[in-house]
Amino acid sequence: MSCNILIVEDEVSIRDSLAELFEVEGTRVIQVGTLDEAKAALAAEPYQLILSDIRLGGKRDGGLQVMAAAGLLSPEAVVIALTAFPDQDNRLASQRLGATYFLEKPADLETIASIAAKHSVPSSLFPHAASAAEGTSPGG
Amino acid sequence: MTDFARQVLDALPVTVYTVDLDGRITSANRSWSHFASENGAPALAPETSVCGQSLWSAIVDPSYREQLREAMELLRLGKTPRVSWEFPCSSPDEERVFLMQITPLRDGTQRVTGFVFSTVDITPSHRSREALIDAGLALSRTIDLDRVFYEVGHQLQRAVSAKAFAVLLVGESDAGLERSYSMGYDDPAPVLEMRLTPLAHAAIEKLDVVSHVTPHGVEVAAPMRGGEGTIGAMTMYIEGCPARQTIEGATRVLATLAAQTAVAIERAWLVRRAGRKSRLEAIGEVAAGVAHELRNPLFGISAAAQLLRYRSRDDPDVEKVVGRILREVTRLNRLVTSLLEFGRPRVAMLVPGDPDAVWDDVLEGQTGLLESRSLSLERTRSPRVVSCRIDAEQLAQVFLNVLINAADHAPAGTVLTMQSSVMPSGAWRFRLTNGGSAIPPDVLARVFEIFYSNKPGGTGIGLALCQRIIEEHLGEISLDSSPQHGTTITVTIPPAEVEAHA
Repeated sequence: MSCNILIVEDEVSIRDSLAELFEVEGTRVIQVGTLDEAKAALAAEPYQLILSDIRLGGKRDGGLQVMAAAGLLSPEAVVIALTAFPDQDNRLASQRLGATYFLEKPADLETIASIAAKHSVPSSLFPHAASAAEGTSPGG
Repeated sequence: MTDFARQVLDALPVTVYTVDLDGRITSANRSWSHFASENGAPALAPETSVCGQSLWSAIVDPSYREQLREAMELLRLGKTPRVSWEFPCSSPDEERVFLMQITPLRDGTQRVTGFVFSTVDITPSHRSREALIDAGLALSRTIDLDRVFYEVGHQLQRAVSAKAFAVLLVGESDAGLERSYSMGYDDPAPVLEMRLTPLAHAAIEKLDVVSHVTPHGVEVAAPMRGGEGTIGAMTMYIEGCPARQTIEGATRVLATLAAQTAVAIERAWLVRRAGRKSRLEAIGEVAAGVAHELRNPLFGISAAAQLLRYRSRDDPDVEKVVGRILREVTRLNRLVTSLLEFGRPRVAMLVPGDPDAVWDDVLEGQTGLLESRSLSLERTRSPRVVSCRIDAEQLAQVFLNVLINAADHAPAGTVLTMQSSVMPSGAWRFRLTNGGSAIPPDVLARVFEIFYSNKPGGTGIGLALCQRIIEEHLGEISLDSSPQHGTTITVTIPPAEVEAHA
């Protein structure tokens, strides 16, 4: 089964590294850098994993809007919020919008990969996550 | 009138004359005669020549006539027992102020038959009052303390002819009094200290004005009591041999000025503190902004390095280099995190609690730190449990920082001394001393400044953050250092019942 992953991040070098982390057989990684692109990508197809920065292109709540859209368009997705600005308001808002994970930058790639693996999303660190966790529904 | 009554009337230092209902003068006492001859009307000085004269003929100003007529009418009808007003009366040399009072004269049937006019020179008390008002205005306008002191000294000179004036404030170290301002004293500094300090101490102890008469003049000291306690004393010196009343009047003025000045000083201190706070907040904003901007590239670096590590898992050279990169990232991120903490501190949630209990928790977690440096700890707890308004988590952060600093600068194998106590005010005071080498004065003066550090690898945020947190607790933190006594950090937190000042 193929896994759709959406990475929403306006810093190109971070986005590239995250994409590389998930570029393994059995996954499709979509990378976007703006809120509009993210909305378009979410409207196009459902995702199993969404990684989103909270502050997007200078917008404080850009990532929160991504999460709101994801809640409607990809309700099954596991959402990981990433932020360089960890404040309690953002944390609570992300949680309300369905982000199960809230990670501070700089985050440990292993942490991200193991969260993904827990939800059957493979990565270059855990390439066999999908088969190992076969039967578990994504986001469950 | 009996002879005796007449004698009393003449002896009064008040100008008294009586008029009938039509305003014709019916009698005048001896003070009137003095007044008239001294104020350019010698013809009216003898009682015999003034009697029978009409009051109205002497008054040219129509509004004053009207005022007087109204007053006499009110008194005649019994609507008021007394009418009084102040009026200036300038002679060529100086401006003087008089208080005039008019009361009704009644016959055996209580009918009003005339009026008594009495006038007294109130220039000295008027000046004192004016001085108080002027000084009060100056105090409220200015927060520059030297300016305040100058103004107060100037007003004292004017009001009570004080030759010299000084302000002595209780030092921060509660060690003694420091002379903050003086004017008019001729002595060299050490002599002056000896001359003023005992008197100032006496005033502070008695909480009242004290004076000391010398063959050359009078030294007076008044305690300076503000809203938060006694902050010092004010002294003045009046030359010569002034009359008792003069001294009494002068001490009253000094006492009032001392109290007003104390309040002004406290306000200035508050403003200064608020100024420092807003400066800290501005720095915090910048720090938080910079920290945020740093975190993204840091994540970019660390993510790339981590990927590299996974790609070349079997290459020890890559692993070594990536390890270095990631260690530096971790170090930078620690700096960023403390910057964020400093810049966006969590609002302190102050609830009643025992600061010593916070220390218990901190120490429990840090036995390893002390052991690793072979340091031992000598702890004396405050004799009773204190309740202060604290945020235990933030306070623990301060204590940990303070402990690590003390341990870092203590020679291995030495003793750290911790002592907490209750001050007379109920405040909790804590001191931590290490036997490390003394901190040079120029460094000591800057330790609480943000980004100032003389510790290798130090960020210069720790103590600045500590100060910020302790100020949120309305407390104080200070550092003293000397070769003899080592380095001591002192933290004071007010008791729970003291309400926050706006």
